[in-house]
Amino acid sequence: MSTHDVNGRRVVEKDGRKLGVTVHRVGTRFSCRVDNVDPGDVIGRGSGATVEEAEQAALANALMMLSLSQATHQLRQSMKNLGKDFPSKG
Amino acid sequence: MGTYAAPQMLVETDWVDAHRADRMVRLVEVDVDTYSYDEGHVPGAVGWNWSSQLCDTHQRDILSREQFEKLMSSAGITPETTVVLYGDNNNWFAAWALWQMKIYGHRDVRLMNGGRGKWLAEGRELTLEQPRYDVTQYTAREPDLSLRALLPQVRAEVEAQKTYLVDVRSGPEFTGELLAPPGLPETCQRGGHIPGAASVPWGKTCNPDGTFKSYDDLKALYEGVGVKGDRPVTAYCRIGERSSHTWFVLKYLLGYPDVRNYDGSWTEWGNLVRATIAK
Repeated sequence: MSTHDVNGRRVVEKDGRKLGVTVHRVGTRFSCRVDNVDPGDVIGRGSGATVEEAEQAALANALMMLSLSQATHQLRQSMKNLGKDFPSKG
Repeated sequence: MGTYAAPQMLVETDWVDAHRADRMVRLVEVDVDTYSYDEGHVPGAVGWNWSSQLCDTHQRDILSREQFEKLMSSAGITPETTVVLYGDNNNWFAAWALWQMKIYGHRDVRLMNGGRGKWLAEGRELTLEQPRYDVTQYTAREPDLSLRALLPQVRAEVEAQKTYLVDVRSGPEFTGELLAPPGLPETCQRGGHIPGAASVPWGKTCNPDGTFKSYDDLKALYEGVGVKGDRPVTAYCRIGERSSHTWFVLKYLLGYPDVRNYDGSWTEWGNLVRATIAK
């Protein structure tokens, strides 16, 4: 067996969002995946020589994904509000 | 204390450990995280990628009969094989695979209760080795479309109000506050839910260790929002996978006689012209 669960899945809070963090050892390296808790989609992955490195990389990816989706949401809201003042066709 | 309607649809991790070398049993891992299998899986298990192997990649659809037969054959599965599916996140995508296997009439397909998470938590063996099985010539049955709801049927159900609709997405998706789960692209024009739907997020059916809740707890969960077995039930989510998990619970654990999965789900309904939504 060359792979195992390092410390199970734990839930952390970053920028007001809950994230599930799971780390595995794969051979001599560590692999981390971060999910969005509900429903549990994996939104960040990372690997490294230590648990910390792997977690840091995965969390950075996940936070980027969250920022992008939040920005899209805000852009849609802004466009909607603008549309109230300037209704468009098409 | 009630018992599951079809307890044979579930196997425990002990059973899997004892039968994993059985040539009439095929283990298949299907994860949300498509990289998980490559990082270690139950010895003997093959891995299916939900995003490329469990859908038609040319049109939005489940596998065609030919594609399904090819997938089964390549995994060395025959119609007589006992297939045990398992995966991460409470067997979410394993249930999606099971739903398709039932549509194409595979007789004996089950879920490993608790999925990959429970196997890992129990410290059981994992391997990186990919098994090889002799390719078979699998012949599927005609698709059983009584397990699937397509848009015209759902529209008719909404109008007739004789079917229970169960929305299994999160609360904020149900109310329209969110158009997609955090970190995922928004794939619909509007937020909300199908009129008349009850909200029962799919994850409420599982214990913290990923196993299914007891019959009594599940019965109380659905009956608590008025969803019973006296009428047909249609479950939906965003793209149809979470709702396949709920479909499994309602059909095999609670034994409701007529349960369908609406795989078009909110990405279809929420973009539809002339479809009423509720918030």
